[in-house]
Amino acid sequence: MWKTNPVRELALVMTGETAAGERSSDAELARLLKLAKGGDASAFERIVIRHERPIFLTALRLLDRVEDAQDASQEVFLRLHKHLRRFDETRQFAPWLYRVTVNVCRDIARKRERDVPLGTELPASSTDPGAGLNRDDQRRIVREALKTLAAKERAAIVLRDLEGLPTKEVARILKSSEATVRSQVSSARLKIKRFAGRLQGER
Amino acid sequence: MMRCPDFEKLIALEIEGDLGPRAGERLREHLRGCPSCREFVEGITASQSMLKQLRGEAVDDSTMVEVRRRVMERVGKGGPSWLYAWRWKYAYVLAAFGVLAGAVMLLRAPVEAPRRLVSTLLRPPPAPEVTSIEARAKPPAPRVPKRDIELPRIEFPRIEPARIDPPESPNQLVVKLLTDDPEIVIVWLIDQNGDRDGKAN
Repeated sequence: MWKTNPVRELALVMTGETAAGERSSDAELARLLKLAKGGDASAFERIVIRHERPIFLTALRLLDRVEDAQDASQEVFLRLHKHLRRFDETRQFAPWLYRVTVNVCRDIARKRERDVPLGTELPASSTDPGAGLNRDDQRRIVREALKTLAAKERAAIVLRDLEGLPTKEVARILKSSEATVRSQVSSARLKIKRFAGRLQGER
Repeated sequence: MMRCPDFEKLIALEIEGDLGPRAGERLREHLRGCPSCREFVEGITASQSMLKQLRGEAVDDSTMVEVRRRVMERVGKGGPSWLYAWRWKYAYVLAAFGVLAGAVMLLRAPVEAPRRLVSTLLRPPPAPEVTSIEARAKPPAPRVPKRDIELPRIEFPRIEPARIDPPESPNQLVVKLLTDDPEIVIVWLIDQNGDRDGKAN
């Protein structure tokens, strides 16, 4: 019943690689939004199901904790429900939802910084730079590398490289210019490269 | 002149297609003659593919179900009411009814009806009747019969005018003050030069 591959869901809902699929998906979403605005709870639940995974994963990459990502996802959908009446269903829904996600995650991260200082934990199995890393280790390295980024750089690279959104849309979500987003993304990619290279014994 | 660290920033953009065509051409020209930067391209391409492995990260379904359950529970407590959702339809129906009622009234009523209607509308409403218990129980005010009232006659004493003596000098002014007691008269003699002399007789 539930989709388990977030990449497929991203392709259908966010990036528009399949034009026909995107058009039908957009039309279906507009219909659900209209029903949900009228008070249809099951239509709202279907909207939540369509977007819960990418929103949760985005929150997880920005906050790096499952509990915080769950709280953030919950808050995002509650805000969606609160502002649903004012939302124009002819507008693009995904950028709006991502913007709320980034704002909610920023608020949670600020609150968390006040309570607990973050530290960078190195993965346990990356002692031998010559040895190949398995997929789990690589993901762990990348997650640690993401933690070292500034909040804006992290948001930019998560939206651009992990969610696959175009630079123009990322700029709109982050309320920045495209040049700023490109600069942040470039800086983030270089930092991740250097972090990964340090752990793997590169120059 | 750009150096390799400057080109590294361009490489970081070019690998994901974020670089413009002119800057991209300049970068490709540099890469043709710089093995160090070509090595850098390989390194950053590897780190980007490592980054994108997070895309395929599986998420436990129970995590999603829990989030959805919490959201729908909160939404169920205070969702948009059907009354709110239908508010515009009710407004249109009421407006249409008002227009129809007004049209019917105008068509059925004679010419004088609008004037009577306007005067009726402009006339102040009648004062409401007092029907409180206190008002009903209040006894009427007593009626007092009209009669002539005789005022007491007051006898005033007759006061004889006091004898006024001629002034002692032509420059002197005499002022006599009469009191209630006819036997007491205050005579004030004022000299034109400013001297005053009061006497009481």
